[in-house]
Amino acid sequence: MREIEFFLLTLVSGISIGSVWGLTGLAFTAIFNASRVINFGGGEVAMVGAYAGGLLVFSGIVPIPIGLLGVIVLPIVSGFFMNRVFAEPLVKRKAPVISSVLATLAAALIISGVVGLITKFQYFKTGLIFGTKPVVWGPLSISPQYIAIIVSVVGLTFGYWFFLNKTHMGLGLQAAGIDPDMASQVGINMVRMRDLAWLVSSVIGGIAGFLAAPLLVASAVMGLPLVVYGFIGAVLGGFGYPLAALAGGIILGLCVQFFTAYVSPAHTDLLVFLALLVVCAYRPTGILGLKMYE
Amino acid sequence: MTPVEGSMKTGKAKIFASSILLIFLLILPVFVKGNVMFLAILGMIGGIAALGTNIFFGYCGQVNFGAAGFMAIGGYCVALLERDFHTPYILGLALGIAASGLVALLSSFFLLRLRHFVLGLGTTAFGLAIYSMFAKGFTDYTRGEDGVSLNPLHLFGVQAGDKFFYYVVLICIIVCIWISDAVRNSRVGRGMVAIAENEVAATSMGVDINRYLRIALVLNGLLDGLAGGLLVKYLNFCSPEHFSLPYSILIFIGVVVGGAGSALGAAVGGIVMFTINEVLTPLALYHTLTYGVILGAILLFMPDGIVGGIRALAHRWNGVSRV
Repeated sequence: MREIEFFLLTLVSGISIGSVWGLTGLAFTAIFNASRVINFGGGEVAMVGAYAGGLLVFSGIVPIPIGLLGVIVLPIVSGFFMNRVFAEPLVKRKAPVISSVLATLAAALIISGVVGLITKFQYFKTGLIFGTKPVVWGPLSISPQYIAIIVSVVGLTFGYWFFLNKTHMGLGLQAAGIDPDMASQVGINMVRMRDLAWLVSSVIGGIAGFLAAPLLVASAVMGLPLVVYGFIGAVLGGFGYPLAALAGGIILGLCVQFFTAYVSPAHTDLLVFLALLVVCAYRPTGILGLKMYE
Repeated sequence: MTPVEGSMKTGKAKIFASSILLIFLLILPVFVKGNVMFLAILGMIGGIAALGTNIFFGYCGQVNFGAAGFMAIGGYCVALLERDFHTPYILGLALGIAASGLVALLSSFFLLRLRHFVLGLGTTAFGLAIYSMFAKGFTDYTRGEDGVSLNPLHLFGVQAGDKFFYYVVLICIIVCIWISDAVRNSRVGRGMVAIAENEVAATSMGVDINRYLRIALVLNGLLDGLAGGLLVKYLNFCSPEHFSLPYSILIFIGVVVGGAGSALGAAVGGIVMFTINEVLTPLALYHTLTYGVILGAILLFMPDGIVGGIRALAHRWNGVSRV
């Protein structure tokens, strides 16, 4: 019985941490699909979300609804800063994509540096938004944070899918990514579309960071690992497909948690990354085998 | 003015600029010591690492976010051989370079099936796998985060100083630039550039894409292995900290901001970015912020890299409009 509990607990935590990586990957994909830029700042946006949560929601400085609003607004502001100051000027100048990618990295360093100055690079305190009382369900007792994460991941993913495929704006966003020249011909404002993509991405990333903060260790440097795992998840699932990014993230989360629990914590990273290399080599288009997104 | 004259002028200007740079580097140890020497040596080791990645990214156009993995192989080979077998440094270094090239060859069978972003992921995973192997995987043997200490380098019974190291590294970087240029101007190098331009067109011209990319990756491994081997011996200390993902990214940044595709550019970019990184270390809290600002400024204001930016300045100074 104990073993089943342990197994289920590993499963739940794998899915939760994986969904966080998946959401980061989803946020990646949103920007990639609109402008072909890989956003190294995705992790920093999530970090801003986590920090906004720690600063506004759990410290009791402002009422909780305003705090939650801050969790949405601050990441948007940081995303806007990254796009308008760093990525957009280079895209407009038709610089190589890799320059824009590194420019987002520069922006990420700046944001991480600013938050680091405020927090002195110490861990900052966040809380569990639904309290600490575990939800008991049969033999299992699960932290409500896990449930909150899984529920909001499902909600956000569905919302994003709906926005992308069923609204006029979302379709414009897709068109902007598939053929920028054609899209501007039919009157789609490319600059506004890229802004929109960064906005959507920042909202998703910020919420992911806010929810994940208690799971990961919240600090000014939490961005890079998050962005790396999000990126890995996105490519693992099939790059360019929002749902595949989520699936890839969850698969990665499950792998990491099960390796840690059942094989050896010390060798987890090595095994996971080696497995990843092999998977990549034999399924270059991702585990789900979707058509490569050019 | 015709393009031919223009290129001759650029060629002369390049020789002129590189000679000034070389003379400056040759006489630098006469004037400075201590901390500046430390920075110069670390910077040039970074330059060597960037030169390796420049062959894979700058010539072939394939991203590599795992270059520090090759450095780790070179470095740990030197350190572990010396600790366990008391291998002389020069032999350890040669074996380290060879091991790094071998690992590059083996990894090429996986990595070269990938392109674009997936290759970015593959190389990231490669670098992280190597890093976690040394940092967490076999801590009994590699001492994990604690690292391995090395003996200072002795030369005919005398401990080698900073100056000796400086000239060794300087010779290494010049040889690496020479190798890079020789590769670039050879049949293989032209094939690599053709691959970067358009793989389908390159194939139709008879370029064996897999073979050329494999050569590029192995060269990348060899040069970065050399950089790793030099680094650990200079620091007399080998720890996974110097081979982590941020260092891989730093090497890559060096290639891009220096001016991808030009050996001199990559070397300068690597030197500049590694030196800035070390200079900023005492700033502690302000390190990340300052580094981000500098990197952003270079990317935004020098779109063709540092060397491209200097070239544009020189052209403006000469009253020649940019072509």
